[in-house]
Formats: sequence, structure tokens, C-alpha cells
Amino acid sequence: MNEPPKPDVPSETPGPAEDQRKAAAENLVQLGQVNVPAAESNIFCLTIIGQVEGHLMLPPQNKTTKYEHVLPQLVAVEQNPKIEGLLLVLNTVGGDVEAGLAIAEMVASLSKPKVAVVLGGGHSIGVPIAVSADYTFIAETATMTIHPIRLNGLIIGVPQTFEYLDKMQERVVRFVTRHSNVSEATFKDLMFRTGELTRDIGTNVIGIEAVRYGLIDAVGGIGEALRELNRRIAEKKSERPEGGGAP
Amino acid sequence: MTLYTCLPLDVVLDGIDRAPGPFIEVGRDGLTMLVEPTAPGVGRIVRLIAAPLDCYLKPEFAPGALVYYGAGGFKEKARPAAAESPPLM
Repeated sequence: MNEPPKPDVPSETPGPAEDQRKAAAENLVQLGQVNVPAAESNIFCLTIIGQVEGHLMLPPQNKTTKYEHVLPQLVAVEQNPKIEGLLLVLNTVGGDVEAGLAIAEMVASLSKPKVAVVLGGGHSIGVPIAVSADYTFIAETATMTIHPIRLNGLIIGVPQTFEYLDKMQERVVRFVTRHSNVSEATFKDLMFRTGELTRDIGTNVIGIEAVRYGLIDAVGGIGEALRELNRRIAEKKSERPEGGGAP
Repeated sequence: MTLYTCLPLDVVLDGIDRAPGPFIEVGRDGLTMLVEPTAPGVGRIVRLIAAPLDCYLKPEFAPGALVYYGAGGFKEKARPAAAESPPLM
């Protein structure tokens, strides 16, 4: 009467559980690590935390996101057929301009759906990284500091120095205005506003304010971000005929 | 290098004059990584120098992860001098 259900798959074919066991055993033998591989997901979660580290290794008190690891990661995301979407989670205090813009440009150029969520803070160079996704969320309490770029190290007091600084700043402004709904005039107004920050010029926008200025698309957290990403993945799948494969 | 950060620069750059490391390069078929030894045969990954693309998606190869390079067919490739200046990444 109550017969046990017969397995559909022949027993000699190794299942995903068997593959995971093998991977865990291989990890233990090869690397001495015992972390069990997690169940495979079609979404890759990239976290941008602390300082975005550039060409110079920062002292160890800094928590850093290393761009030399993130850039190949993004290439792997684009190339791996099992990954269908990218979730970008930001809680960063900024960092190197070159490295930050490199990450932002790479995220923006990915052909797969990508959604970003700013939790805590997405300050300074975190702003272009946040807006590089197709759709962006900010937590209600999260903040984004928009302020001018400063030059570090030896500065020669000539007009060309300021022209160079302006050029560097223009790169950030241009990227942010191209990838979000904020206008150049509004963004520059936020960047050079006085009386908002105690130790600097600029503005600290919190949650809904970032949405009101057009920097971020909506207020929300991980739940909303994953729902939006899954919706975009499904939309992309429906656009592509089944079995069509990658071009 | 232009740092665009909301943190005070003296906090971020405190200790920049102290050279990090020493680091060693370890590798095995197609995978080379820079490791900061923490104990004999054990180290913390600083970065992957050359690796198959899929390795970058695995958390066990992320910078900061511990790796037991004393076993598993790893070979120590080079040992830079401790007095060397901080490497540019």
C-alpha cells in the first residue's frame, strides 16, 4: 500500500550531495580547510566593505576590499554560466579612486542582472560603486557621504594641481550622473555644500534622501534586493528562447 | 594614489611606514598565491597571483583565508627578503 517512492535517477550517477562531499574532502586534503561547500546558488553576492584598497597596501587596522581580487571575481561572474545575477552589498567608507572606479565600471558593464544594496554606509568612492548596478536599494538608516576629492601626499602649489584635482573629481561626477537619476548640478551642489558636515564640505544623505535626489532607486533591504534581482533574472530568461544559450 | 574616503587620512594611513609581511609565494598546478605565514605550514592568503577563474568565486581562496600550504602538493616558490620595501598591489 504505502510503497516507498522509487528513485528516478539510477544509483550509479553521483548526485549533487555526492559532489559536495567530494569537494569537501578535496578541500580538506588540498587546503587543510574544513568549510563545507554551500548549496549552489544562481546569484553571486559581492560585498564591498571597509576601505577599497588600491595600488598601495593599507595598514592592517583597515578592513579592506582588495580590487585585485574583485576584478577577476567579476570576470568569473560574467563567464560562469551557473551564475545568473550579481547582488552587490555595500558598507564602505570609500577608498582609492582608481580601484573604486575600476570596480564600478566592471559592474556596470556586466551583461547579467545586478542589484546593489547600501547597508550602513556607501560613502565617497562607494557612491559610484553603488550606482553602477541596474537597480539600487538603500536601507532606511544607511548613509552616503558626498564630498570633494582631496589630494594626498606632496602637492605642488601650481594652478595645474587644481586642474588635475578637478579632472579626478569630474570622473566620479560623470560616472555617477551617467548611472543614476541625479543631475550633475544637484550632485555638485551636494558635493560642495557647506554647513552640513562638521569637519568637511559636502553632504551626508540618509536613506530616503538618496532616493529623493535620484542617486538610489528605492529604500529597501536584502529581501527587496533579492526579489528585484530574481525578477530581473526571470525577465532576462524569458527574453532568451529556451536552449538558445549564450550568444 | 588618490584616496577618496570619509575617514580621516591619519587614521587610514597610520602605520603605512611599517613594511607588511614577510610574504611567501606558494603554488600548485596552475595556482599561485601570496601567503603571509602565521605558523609553520600555515598562512593567511594575501592575494592570488595566478589562478583559474573559478578560484576567485570560492571563499576558501579569498584574501584573509587560512591555508595549510605544508601539505596538499603546495610548493614554496620564493621567499622575498624581510627588509624589502612594501609591495605595490
